Amino acid sequence: MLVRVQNLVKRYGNLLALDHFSMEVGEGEILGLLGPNGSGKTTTINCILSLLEYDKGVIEVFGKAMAPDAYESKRNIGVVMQNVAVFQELRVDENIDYFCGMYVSDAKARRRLVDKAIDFVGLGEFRTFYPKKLSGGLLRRLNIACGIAHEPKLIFLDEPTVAVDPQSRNKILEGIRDLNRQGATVVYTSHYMEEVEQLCTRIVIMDKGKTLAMGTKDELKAMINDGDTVTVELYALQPDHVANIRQLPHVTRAEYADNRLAVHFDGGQHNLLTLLDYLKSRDLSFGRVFSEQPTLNDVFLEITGRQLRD
Amino acid sequence: MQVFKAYFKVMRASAGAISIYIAIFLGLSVAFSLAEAPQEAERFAQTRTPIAVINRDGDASLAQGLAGYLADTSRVVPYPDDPEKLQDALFFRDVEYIAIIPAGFSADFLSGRDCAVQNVTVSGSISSRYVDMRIDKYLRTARLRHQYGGDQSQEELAATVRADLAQETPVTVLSSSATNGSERGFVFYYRYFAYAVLATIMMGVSSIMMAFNKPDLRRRNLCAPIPARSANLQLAAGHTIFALVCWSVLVLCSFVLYGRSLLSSGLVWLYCLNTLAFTVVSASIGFLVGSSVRSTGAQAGAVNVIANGMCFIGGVFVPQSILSKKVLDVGRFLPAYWYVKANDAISGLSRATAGALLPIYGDVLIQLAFAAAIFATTLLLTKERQAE
Repeated sequence: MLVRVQNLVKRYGNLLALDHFSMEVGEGEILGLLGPNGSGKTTTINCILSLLEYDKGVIEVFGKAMAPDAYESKRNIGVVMQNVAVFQELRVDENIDYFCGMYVSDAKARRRLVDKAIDFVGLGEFRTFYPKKLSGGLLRRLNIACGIAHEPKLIFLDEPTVAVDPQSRNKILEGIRDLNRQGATVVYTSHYMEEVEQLCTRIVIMDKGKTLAMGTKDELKAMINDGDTVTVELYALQPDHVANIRQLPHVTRAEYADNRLAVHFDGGQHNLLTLLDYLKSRDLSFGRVFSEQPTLNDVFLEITGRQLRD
Repeated sequence: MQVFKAYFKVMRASAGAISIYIAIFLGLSVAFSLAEAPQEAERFAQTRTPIAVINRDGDASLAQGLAGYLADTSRVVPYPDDPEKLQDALFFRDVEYIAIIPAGFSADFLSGRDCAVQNVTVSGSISSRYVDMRIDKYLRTARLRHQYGGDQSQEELAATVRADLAQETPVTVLSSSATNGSERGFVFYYRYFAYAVLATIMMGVSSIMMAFNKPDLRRRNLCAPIPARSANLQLAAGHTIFALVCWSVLVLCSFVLYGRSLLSSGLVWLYCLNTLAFTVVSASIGFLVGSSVRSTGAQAGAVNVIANGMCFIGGVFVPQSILSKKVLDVGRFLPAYWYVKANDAISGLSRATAGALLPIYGDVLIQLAFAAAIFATTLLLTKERQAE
């Protein structure tokens, strides 16, 4: 395990930010830390990086206890902060060179790494620009380049896509996948479930400083055994038909409103065919048909009783 | 040495503003020093009030003697005995005083009857008082000579009085300062040096501190495998070099402007010592400001308020000799006061004897103590803030 966190407790005065939180990160993973704002994601990262003192628990990185003076471990860690942390007074290339230089002292090797990082985030034509001349998306890319230029083995990305346009977001997510393919282990925090679902090989769902669930996305969805939902556009469906549909195999819920029939199945196969056969047999003409798989939000909803973005 | 190298790259962004600061302050310092230098009294000359003398007593010797005496001690503007023209002369300030010697004045004076020289003056004119005093002096001397000088004709009396009044007391102006007029420029330059060095170094050091102290940047730096002590030492080295460069530039400018007189004074090393101590104070204040403020607006405000306030109260802009006791009592709590005090003491030195230097060393040490206290306070504040 590259990172091991056990029973981590962190208090801010009376507020319990981390409540016996535990997680592990294996080599080569992209681990997603998913939770609503204020759930303790950034506090967890800050504790792991020794930026915050914690009240209780064990944190190990690269098999060694993490501490502010664990310079050997720090040498192999890259950090991309939630807020853009660059010098406004330095150009793009100078910023990357500064942060890379904190890890790599050889000037020649550093030049190569800086060029590589600039290419990696696609800032080639902006390398002599000052940060204030860059758009929000380009700034985020610079922020990432500053964190990964020294080619770390373990990278922490704390909500790197907040307030970023879709084009830059795709570029950033694709870049993270590339980093992972090149051998980096990634810890990625976000409250965007789509991103985590799309990117991460393993996910930790947390709320109020606690681990709610942990596993691959399929494991998490299977854990709630939520089945799927079929929605059918129908005009003037009588209540007795809705009652009949509720009697069909594997149907757990059926609701009709606004000319839409939503039927929820708890597993089973060929549910859609069963439903359509019933509608045809009653000569009920229907419009469009949608089938939805459970999302991580459904998982979160199931566990906590509230939406991820509440 | 990444932090050290970045220091000067970050400083590059502020170089324009800092150069402008130095240029403006240099210009102001030179202008102030040039403007203030001639105000010091170096020689004595009697005030010569512009007056008109109307002698209606004709050829009487005593009256002519008085008119002659007034001509010697004042600047007589010739005017006819025409009331309208005389009023115009006063109105247009051609003269400030009109002395009218009435007809029969000499005879009345010698016979002991009441008599007086009439006058018309510009309202509130101080210099007309001098003319009154001179007329009074002439008449008192004449009365003395007339009563106790034996039998003298009017011509003899007038001649004796003029001879008495011709005697003058030589006046020599003694300056408390060892510097002469040509040396005054650099004394003023080094007084205003305090403002230039304080504002420039505060601006530079605080800009750097603000850049490196941004919370997110600080966190990112703390993630790097470089001990915080090493990063802080590199920053301190940067501050030291920047402060020394500012100090050197301003000292070099003083050599360019006042080279010969400055070097011949033999006090250069004392001025350098005093300014160097104040440079350390300026760096410490910049360190405090940079660690306390968050925005550039607040930074500019702090720099202006501290630099102007300290220089006003400390005696940089207004000489300490004319500041009130209350202001000076407050000023004692500011390093600029001790800088100016040392500067004044240096400029007043005629010889650098151990006894004379001791108070100057004391003032320099007090400045360094201020710097140490400000540095220590800043470090404590920073530590407390980080703990929060």
